[in-house]
Amino acid sequence: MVFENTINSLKEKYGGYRKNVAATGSGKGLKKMTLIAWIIIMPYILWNIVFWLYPNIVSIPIALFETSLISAKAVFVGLDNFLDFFKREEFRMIMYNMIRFGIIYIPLSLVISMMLALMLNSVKNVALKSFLVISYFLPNLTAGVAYSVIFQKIFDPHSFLTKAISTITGTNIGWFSDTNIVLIPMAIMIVWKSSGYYALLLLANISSIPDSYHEAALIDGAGSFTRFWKITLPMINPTFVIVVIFAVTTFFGMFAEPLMLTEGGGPMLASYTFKMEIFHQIYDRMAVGYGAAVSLVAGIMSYVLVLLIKKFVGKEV
Amino acid sequence: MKSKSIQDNLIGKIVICLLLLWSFINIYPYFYLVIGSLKQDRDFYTSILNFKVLTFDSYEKMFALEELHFIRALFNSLFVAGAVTLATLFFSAITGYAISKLDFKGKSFIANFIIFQWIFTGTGVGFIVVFKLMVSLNLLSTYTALTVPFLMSAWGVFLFSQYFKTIPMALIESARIEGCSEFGIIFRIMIPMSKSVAAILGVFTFMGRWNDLLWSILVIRKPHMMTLNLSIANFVLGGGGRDKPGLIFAATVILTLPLLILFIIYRKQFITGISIGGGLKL
Repeated sequence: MVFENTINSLKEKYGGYRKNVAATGSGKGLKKMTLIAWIIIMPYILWNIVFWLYPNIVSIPIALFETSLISAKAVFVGLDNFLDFFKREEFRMIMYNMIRFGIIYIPLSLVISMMLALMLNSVKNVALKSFLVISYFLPNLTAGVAYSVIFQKIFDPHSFLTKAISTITGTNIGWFSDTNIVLIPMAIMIVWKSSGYYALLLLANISSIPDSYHEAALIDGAGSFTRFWKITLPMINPTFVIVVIFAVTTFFGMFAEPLMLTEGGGPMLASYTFKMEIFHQIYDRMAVGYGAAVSLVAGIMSYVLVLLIKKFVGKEV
Repeated sequence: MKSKSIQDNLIGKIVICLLLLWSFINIYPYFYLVIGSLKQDRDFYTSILNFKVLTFDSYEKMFALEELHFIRALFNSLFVAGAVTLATLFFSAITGYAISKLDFKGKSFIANFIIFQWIFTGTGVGFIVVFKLMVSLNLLSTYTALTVPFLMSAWGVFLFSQYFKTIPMALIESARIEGCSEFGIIFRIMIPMSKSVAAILGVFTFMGRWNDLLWSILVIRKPHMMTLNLSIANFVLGGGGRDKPGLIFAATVILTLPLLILFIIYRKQFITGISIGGGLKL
């Protein structure tokens, strides 16, 4: 597990701290301190039993039931919710969209963010650098609804951009009404939103590589590409893996964009996502069990993708 | 050597141009948004540089429009995001204090549980069960449904406890000798000393609630309880945006503004927060 190191180091810290406290002595009896401490953490514990432990334990079995939001009745259906979902057109379209979206979005966002991070690292001027960092972070703060509203107008049939591209290509482009191209504006929009953020994550790691590594390689006559491939990329591997995971799992989080731009995943499900299907099941059909099943499928799929990325992209340094 | 330095200089200039181009791409949509909000609907698709047609009409219409419930929606958003942020800060600080500075029975179990919670965010299905709980408790369209499921944060507890550990125990001991209660220590000593952590946790919690759409759309069914985000989404989805683009843009400016202001005030904490929050929280 990738977290083992983190957990161990945290345990060491906590363990080490315990000894410290015992050595200094707290000044009050342990019994009294225990009472005070439990009073302080009680709200956290109670809240977590209701809103974290209970939902997470119940969520897996609930997917095996056909149960509605408004009735207490639940019929055990085994794996029927899952099997039914796999058979439906929606599932096939979600898979197809995930691949089409990924083909555009993943390379585009990774290349742009890596280039931005490398270029940002070479900027020496402090004022310019902080301006760039701030402007790259801006899109990441914006609500999905807000940037969807803006990009809806940027890709509107009457907009300057659409008219210009229509004139060049000689065809009338309807960005959000053509099943073949609807994911392109969406991918561009999310690249706009997240590339700067990925670049800042990468930058934090790139700037921590000691200069001496590059200097040594320069003396050996390594070109800039070799240095990037042999020094920078391996050194930033942990962050790079995280950025790849973010990019690959973006599709699983898409909700506001299809809802706002294509009226819930249209045309003909060409921009339908997992979140849209979960929302449709639990909001429109009130089928809680079915929604949980879809949600579990999405969760397992993203987890498998994360493991694959860690296996094939991640390196032990 | 001289030709090489000229070449490097040129590459440096190209790099800066490319970087500035991306920041232009990042900023342009906001510029487009502000200009669009200042146009009347009939001028909406005219050139962005046509400054003569700008008015504040859309903002006036936005306040007047019954369907949008603008003032109420803005209040709801501010109230929900603000209340959740304050509660998260409060509970994270006291819980973080207990697990980092107090010695008590069961401490290591609780500390490990919080770390486990922070790292494994759960199946991601939990919110459906919480939603069903809200429905069965008849809590739809209430502030309770919007706030209570978000009051605590394992990440927040973790952040505070890590920071509190750097504060020397002697300070706490001397406060105890002076007769200060544990809550007094938390609020008079610990929190004032950890403003930077509070700012990171605060801005990210506020952002999470302010930008939330899925949860609010699920639990809010009454127009007057909608948050600003949901109210705008609802208005656009209802078809209202087609003939009133200026008005939608004006409301979106207001939706974007609070986070921009927070970001400008706390930009350092935001940038630090992405490496603590984004880098490790998977």
